Amino acid sequence: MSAHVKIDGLTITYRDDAGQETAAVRDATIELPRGETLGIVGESGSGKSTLARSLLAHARAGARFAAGSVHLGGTDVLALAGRELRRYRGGRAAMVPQNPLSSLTPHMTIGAQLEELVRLHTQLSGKAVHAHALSLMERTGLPDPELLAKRYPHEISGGQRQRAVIAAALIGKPELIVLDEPTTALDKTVEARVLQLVADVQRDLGATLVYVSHDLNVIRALCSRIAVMKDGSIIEQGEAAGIFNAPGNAYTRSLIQAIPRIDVDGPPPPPAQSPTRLEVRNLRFSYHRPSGFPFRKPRAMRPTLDDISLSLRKGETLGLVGESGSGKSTVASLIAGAVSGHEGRIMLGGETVSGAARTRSRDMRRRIQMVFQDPLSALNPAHTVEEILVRPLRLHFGLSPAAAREKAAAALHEMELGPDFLSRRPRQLSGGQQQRVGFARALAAEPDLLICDEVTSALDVTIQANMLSLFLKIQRERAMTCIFISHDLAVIARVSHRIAVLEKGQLREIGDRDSVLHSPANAYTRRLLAAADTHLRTGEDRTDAPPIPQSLSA
Amino acid sequence: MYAVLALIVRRLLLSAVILVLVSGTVFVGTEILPGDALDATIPADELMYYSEEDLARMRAELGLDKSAAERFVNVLRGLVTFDFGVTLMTREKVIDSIIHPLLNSLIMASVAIVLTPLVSVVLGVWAALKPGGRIDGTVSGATLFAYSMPDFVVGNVFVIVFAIWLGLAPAVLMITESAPWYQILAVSVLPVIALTVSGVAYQFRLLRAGMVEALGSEFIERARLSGVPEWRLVITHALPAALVPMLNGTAQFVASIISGVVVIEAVFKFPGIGIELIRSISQREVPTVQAITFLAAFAVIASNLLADISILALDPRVRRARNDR
Repeated sequence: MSAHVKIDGLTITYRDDAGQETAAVRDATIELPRGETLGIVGESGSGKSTLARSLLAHARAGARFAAGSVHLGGTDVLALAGRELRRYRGGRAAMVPQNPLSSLTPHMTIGAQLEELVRLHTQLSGKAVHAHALSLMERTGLPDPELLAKRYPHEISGGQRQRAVIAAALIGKPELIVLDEPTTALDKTVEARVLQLVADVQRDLGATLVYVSHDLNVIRALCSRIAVMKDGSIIEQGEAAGIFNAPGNAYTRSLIQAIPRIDVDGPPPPPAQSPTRLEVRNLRFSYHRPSGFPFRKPRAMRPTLDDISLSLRKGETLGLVGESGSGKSTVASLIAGAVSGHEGRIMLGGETVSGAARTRSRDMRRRIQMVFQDPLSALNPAHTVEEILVRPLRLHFGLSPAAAREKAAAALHEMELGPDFLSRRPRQLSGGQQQRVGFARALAAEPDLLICDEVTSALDVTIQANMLSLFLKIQRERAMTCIFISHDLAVIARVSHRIAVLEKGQLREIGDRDSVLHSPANAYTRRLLAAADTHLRTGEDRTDAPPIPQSLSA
Repeated sequence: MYAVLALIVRRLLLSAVILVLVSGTVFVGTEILPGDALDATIPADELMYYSEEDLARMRAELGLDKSAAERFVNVLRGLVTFDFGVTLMTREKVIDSIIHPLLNSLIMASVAIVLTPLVSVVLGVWAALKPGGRIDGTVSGATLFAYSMPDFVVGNVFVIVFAIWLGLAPAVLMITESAPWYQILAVSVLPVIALTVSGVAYQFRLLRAGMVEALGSEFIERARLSGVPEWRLVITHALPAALVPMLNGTAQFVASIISGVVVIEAVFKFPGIGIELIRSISQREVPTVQAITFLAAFAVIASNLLADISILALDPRVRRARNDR
């Protein structure tokens, strides 16, 4: 019996800007029996997505299959063309892409997009097409399919979109399902449910599953085999359990060590008896919706923040955790003055902070600094790193150009970047380096309060791990007061002295790191912990996970 | 729906304000010209036969003796009720004197307005199927060239090439204002093509850019990897997304076509509203000028509103965006 999926010596090359032929995937060989689950793991640029797409005979524009072959159940996939290729795609092999919002056609309803594929891949016609689409939506746990079918992609939640895309993949009853980071954009509790759905679907169809991700937790929860990719090559593959327990390769080991875990040690305790730095009392805030007519007052919407009170001592890091829409970023924006118009009090070192940043004194602006999720959009692309760093130094401290330059180099050194980075521009840096410059800029102002908003969410795991270690070191050395915002409880666990849990604009729980993580008082906190925990299970565990009631699916 | 309705109501209110402002601008414009309608229409050597009293009486008849503010209110009241009054000299209804040229221009302009987006879509889709290919290169190059040429150059080149060198059409149209529509349509061929050149060039570029972006998007990749045939990808998935930016260009084109009409009509001597406008300005035929400019502004506003509504229909996100936040 030959393998169900067989990739043999596959090399995929693309032409880079200089016209050079470069390999995105180099001599990859994979064999999978039918019904096997393979996780392809690697960091961005490792070629994992390119390799996965070859299973659907797809190479992105500019790329080509230079050598090797791909077979599915004996069919030479790369030789397919025209009608046969179209039948194969979505028929025998289906793809679930990374970002469900941008992967669904924005001007077509969910129903129309599913029905299009039902017509292509089944013999059904007329009313049966619609009925079949609805049944698939029901199968993937979408509530009220009749109603959702009429919605456009932007009108449904992220989890629902991903379910719709999975429903689309099921239409042709594929024998191979390729998933490319399908849960990266989702909140953790939603991600756990979508992964459960993927596991169920794979078992029902008896399909072979190839799951691409940078997240080893997810791969471990779902796959029994793993292939590790680096720079286009598969550097290690085999049984998941074996690789996790005894990685044969140094790179694999570093990947596994970099996985953020809830059961890590937290930061060393802050100095005892330090004074209170930040005090937030009864903070309330609502966004306003324009009325649509001139001269009519905008209407207040459901409160984004409802009665939030918290305080922070000098040298302490408060982890603010919550899912998207919980209001955690709004807290940051209000404190930093990016948004104004709140009720309640914000006090920094006993001084009331209010209003938009531009109405605050220059010194107050200096004292509160913020680092953002996407460093590339937070750094001026036209400026060199030197210009980026020198500006706050001269503005806040009136330094001479030479002195400012010296301090800028020192700030880079603190972020473990050499002085040669001063002359580069943001686009010439990697994501991790950009974020270090973001930190250096914020720290150059010597702030009393540093707000970090999802600062590692866009980074690869190993880079994230480095970033977090660096953050911890600087936080301790400077005895910095920080608010660290993340949706990832494991990241929060690593850096926080205290943890605040936000849900729907309300503070569900706030307390010491250990008590929140180990004896959560609130049901929502327990759910977040449980969602983070499912990822820590091994592949064998997943089958006895309890089925998810459809009423909870979102 | 509520948001869409609110948008339309808001736009209509704004349109009314714009129309009043346009009328005001035109009024001021005709007011600051030296002399008045009477001076302009009576030849200098005839002027000696009129006494001061005669002139005063004639001014009173025409309402030229009233204060500027009073006249403006009268003009405005007339315009918004689509009652454009009578011409100064021949005392016939303004609407009667401009209706034929207006219809002729409408025929020419509507053909151009319908044709331009159609041609742009066909060319844009064709070029976007293979970005950087031979067809794309040719069309993109040609449109870049065409886009940089002013209308009067295009018109004159057409006259020289098609009328003088090739003799396919008369260089100067000899047709009366009140000719039947099919004759007008027949002589409109060259003017229409000349008129659409820059519009096609601009809208093609918008559509091509939109198509290239849409075809490179993740939703196209997902659909392609689900086995959707190529033609469906282009027509149902990519094209509607690419039409949105193009429609903004179409609305701009409709607005600019009015100035284009004036230029092209002058080049081809096409008996339309553009020629009529030029004539009435030189004769200080103020009510006619006011009527034509008012109608032009009206057309621009209406076409913009129409384009906005089409965008709402094509892109559900815009409909929704006005509800959120």
